[in-house]
Amino acid sequence: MDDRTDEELAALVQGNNDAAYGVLIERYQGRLLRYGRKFLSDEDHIEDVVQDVLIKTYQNIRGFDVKRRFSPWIYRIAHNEFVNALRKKHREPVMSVDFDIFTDHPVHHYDPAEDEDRKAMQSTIEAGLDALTPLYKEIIVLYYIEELSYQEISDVLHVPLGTVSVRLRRGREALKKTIRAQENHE
Amino acid sequence: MNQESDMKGKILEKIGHGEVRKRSRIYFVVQIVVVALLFSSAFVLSVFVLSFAIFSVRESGEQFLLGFGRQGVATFIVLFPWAPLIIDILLFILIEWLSRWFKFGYRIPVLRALLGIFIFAIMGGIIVDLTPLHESLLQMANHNELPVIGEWYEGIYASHASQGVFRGTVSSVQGNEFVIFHDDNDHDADDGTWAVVVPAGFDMTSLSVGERVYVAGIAGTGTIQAYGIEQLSGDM
Repeated sequence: MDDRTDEELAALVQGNNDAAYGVLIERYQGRLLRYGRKFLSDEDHIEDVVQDVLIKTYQNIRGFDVKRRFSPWIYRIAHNEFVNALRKKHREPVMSVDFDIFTDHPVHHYDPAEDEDRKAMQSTIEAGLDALTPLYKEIIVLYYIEELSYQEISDVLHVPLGTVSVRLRRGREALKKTIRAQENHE
Repeated sequence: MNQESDMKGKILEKIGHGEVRKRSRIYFVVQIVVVALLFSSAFVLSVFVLSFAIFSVRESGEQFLLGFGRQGVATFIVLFPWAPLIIDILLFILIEWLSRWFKFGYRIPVLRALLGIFIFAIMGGIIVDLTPLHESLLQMANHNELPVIGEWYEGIYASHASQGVFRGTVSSVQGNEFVIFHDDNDHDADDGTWAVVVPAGFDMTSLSVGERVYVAGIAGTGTIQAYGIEQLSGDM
């Protein structure tokens, strides 16, 4: 297993080391397939989109700033591709007007207990995720499953930090509510 | 795992066969330069349009209407150059959208970004208005030497007689009335002399023959019952 960082590998690909791109594909293919399953249900289609994401990533690799983290950058490409795929599938705007980005929201301050929360949530997320709307589903996946920071999520979704914070809080509440309802049902 | 290796294999094969190529660094540099140029051009244009609106209101004398009471304010709203303002609002939306290419753009909530753009544009507009730019363009428009936006400048002095607004030269002063000669160069019915009945409390001693005035009122046959009068400076 290659122990170089994603950013080091990306720098090699920016040169002409295409083998390094093979390592990046290995690292991200599974994560992107998992990310895609939160948007689309048709497995074949998800694979096609992930393949497109990986091809676009390669085509645009010279636009990546190796001083920044690679994962938010590739998730940004994936986000755009999955939103486009959803749009084509439904033939309608997936995320119409997003009022959360219009006004200020207080940015949630980091709490060390949050990591504990993140670990605890990861195990229960799968149970309630499907009940969430794509808006909340995506942010929950990026935060709890892909473990991106608020700033990185802001860079993936191109929304203000306050929007990340408020949407994550709402998503978390909706998720907990769904899980509680499921437990009561059982 | 097989499925995953398959995808990796397919992509690397496409790369190996040259079906998929990396875009050059220049492509990204050009992209960012184009967006930055569009962003700055839209901002410069919005400042220009806003400064024109300020200049137009000042040069036409419409700002005086704001001091003429409720009726004056209503007339001001009717006469305000809305077209430049609407163009500016569209430009602000374009600027905000273009700014989303950059981190500083998408990290700011839309309404705050729009407010920021508006504040910067209005500051820029006020600064541009202090320069002789619009005066020069107005001169060019008057000599039919300004294409495209020439009509905007010519419209500054358009007749607003139907809204009861006149600009003219005082030809005589008598009692609580004075007579103005109104000529807005369009040779229509509002050209000629008008007897202006001044509003209560107006200081007639401040008026003198030959002076240029801005009058807002209700026009009758040859008379204007004024609700507001302002003396114009020499260059207006």
